[in-house]
Order: sequence, then structure tokens, then C-alpha cells
Amino acid sequence: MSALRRAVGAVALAVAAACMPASGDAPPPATGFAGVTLVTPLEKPAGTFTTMHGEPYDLRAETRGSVTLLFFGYTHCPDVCPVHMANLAAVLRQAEPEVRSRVKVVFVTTDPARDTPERLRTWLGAFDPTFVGLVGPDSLVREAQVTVNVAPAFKQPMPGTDPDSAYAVGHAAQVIAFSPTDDRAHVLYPFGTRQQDWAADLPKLVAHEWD
Amino acid sequence: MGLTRALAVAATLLPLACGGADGSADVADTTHVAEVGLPTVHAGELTVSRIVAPAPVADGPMALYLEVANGGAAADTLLGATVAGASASLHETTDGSMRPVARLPIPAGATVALRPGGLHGMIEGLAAAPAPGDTLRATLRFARAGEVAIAAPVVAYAELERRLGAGAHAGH
Repeated sequence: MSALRRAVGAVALAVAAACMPASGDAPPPATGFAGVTLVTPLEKPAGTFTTMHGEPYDLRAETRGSVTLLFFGYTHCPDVCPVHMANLAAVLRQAEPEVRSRVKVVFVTTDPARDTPERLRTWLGAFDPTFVGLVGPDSLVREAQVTVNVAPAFKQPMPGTDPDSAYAVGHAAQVIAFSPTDDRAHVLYPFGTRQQDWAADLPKLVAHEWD
Repeated sequence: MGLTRALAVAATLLPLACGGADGSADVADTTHVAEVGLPTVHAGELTVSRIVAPAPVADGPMALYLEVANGGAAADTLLGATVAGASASLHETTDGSMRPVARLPIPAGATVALRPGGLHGMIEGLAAAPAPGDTLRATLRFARAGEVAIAAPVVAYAELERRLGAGAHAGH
């Protein structure tokens, strides 16, 4: 069992490392976050997207002062996306109002061909109607992913299926948490983050002052 | 054995989706509820456990999770799954990208897990989306063990980590 733990631990570290900006810096300081603390913080993507309600959404302006949990995904995703959204929704339902009111969950679709505003409303609304679903021109969505140092999403045809309707979308699996105070991301939440991790970290994300 | 499982899962990177829809048999008599509250089915040397399926959201695809333990001396292979009235295939998520898996080796003595963030069954085209509390019936097809009928409890996505308990996510 310890061998498995070590093997899994090594994989988890490799995954965590892959999520982090490439650098030879020292390990991040211990901050008490369950998420992965970044050595080099990430800037919040700029630009104006369109919400699932058809309104313009300047990401920086609209989310300034809130803990902003940014995720790139798609609604035909069977696994990573709904697990993240469901876990966040479940924890936010239980959160203290002063925490809940300071957190915005922003889901940027990487599959605009199938994720119409209506579909985003239905899908995200099934988790939490306050989650913000955004669509943007391909160039803006790509640029946003580059800004936060994740590999831009790409379409993956599935053999033996209709390439126009039955494809998958490869995308980053982590939720990126932006601070309400300096508007930068210092902590990432890889896939596998559990509800207890979110419950412990959300109040800290609201309150923590980064140097 | 745990290490073997991790390596077996890591080594499974195979092309092509499988699937079909030719009906499913009744659930085996050996079905019972394990300590994690999820069913276990014995079929020859194979034990299929931790069977669970999250309810699809907004008629999206449905995932199926389970573990297969091979207690025998011979390797087996999971060739695919069938769900009546739907298409079923096997996929693996690796670093956020998803690949179809045509054949999933189950080495002798190993346990291979389909769990969130790693391998999963994917069911598409169901006429009515199952809801939490429902049961999804499926048939697994193995090269040696043949067809194994399973009944997956349908749960909300938010319930998955609790129902799967420790090791609820691949690689964690």
C-alpha cells in the first residue's frame, strides 16, 4: 500500500507540477491551503465575454473584489466538469453567507459549437443558477487559457462517431482561484479536489492577504 | 497489488470506442451491497465492485464507474459494455483530454478501477435520463469471463466522492 501511495503521490506531484508555471523556483511556501499554491501568481484574463444570458461580461471588471473560481470546460463532459461544478455547488450551499457572497464561479465554455447560451443556462443552472457561464470568440477563450498557463482546449473526434456532434473536448482539469484583494491567482484546484478541501479553503481564499 | 493496479491503469492507452445495444441480462444473484454502499458482482474469478453512475446533467452523457478485480491466475480483458437503448463506450481522461479505450486488460491478480478523472464508461443516447435513486442496468463483456450483468445505483454528481469513499478520484 505504501508503494501505491508513493506511486500515486509521484503522479499527483507530476500533475500538480504540470499545472504550475514552468520555473525552477523553490517549492511554494506552506500557506495552509488544500489547493496547490503557486510560486508565480497568474494574472486574471482580460477581455469581454458574453454571458449565457446574452450580456457582455468584462471578466476583470465583473469579478473584481470576489474570489473568482475560473474553469474552462464543456457541458458534454461526462466526468471532470460536472464533478467540479457539483462539488463547488454543494459546498457553496453550505457556506456561511459572508463567504458565499464573496465567491463567483465562472465557467468558460471551450465548446461554443454545442454550448449555446441556452444549454449553458440549463446545464450550469442544474448545479447553481448563480454560476456564470461565459462564451467568447475562439481567440479570446484561447488567450484567456494562455494567460492562466493552461493548454488551450482542443476538439477530439471519437472514432466511429459523428465528428460534428459526438466529439470530446480536451481541456484543463483544474479550477483557478483568483484572490479578491490582488485579482491574481495564487492557488489551483486540480481534479480530485474534495468537498472538504473546498469547504476549508473558501473562507481562506476570501480572507487571505497575499504579499 | 495496489501498485500493479496503478501501473495497469497507467498502461492502458488504447484506441477505438466499443459499444452496442443488444439488451442486458438480469443481474447476477451474487449482487450485494458492499461497505461503501455500492453493489458488488462476482463472475468467475472476477469481482466487479464500487459500481455507480452519476445522473446525467441536462441530457449530457452518462458516466459509469466500477472496479474489476481479477482473482484468477489468467489475465482477462474488458471488451466493452452494453446498455439497452443506448451506446456505451470506454474512455480514459488523461490530463484533461479524453481517449477511447477499445480493450481494457485486467491482469491476473490486479484490480483496475474506472473512477472519476481516469477511466470511465460513457453512455449516450438514453431515451430518458436516469435520476438519482434510479438504477442503470448494463452488461460488461469480458474476453474470458463473458457477459456480466451489473446494476449501477444512479447518484448525483455531488454524491460521487462520498459514495466512492477513499480513492474517489483517479490518481488521488
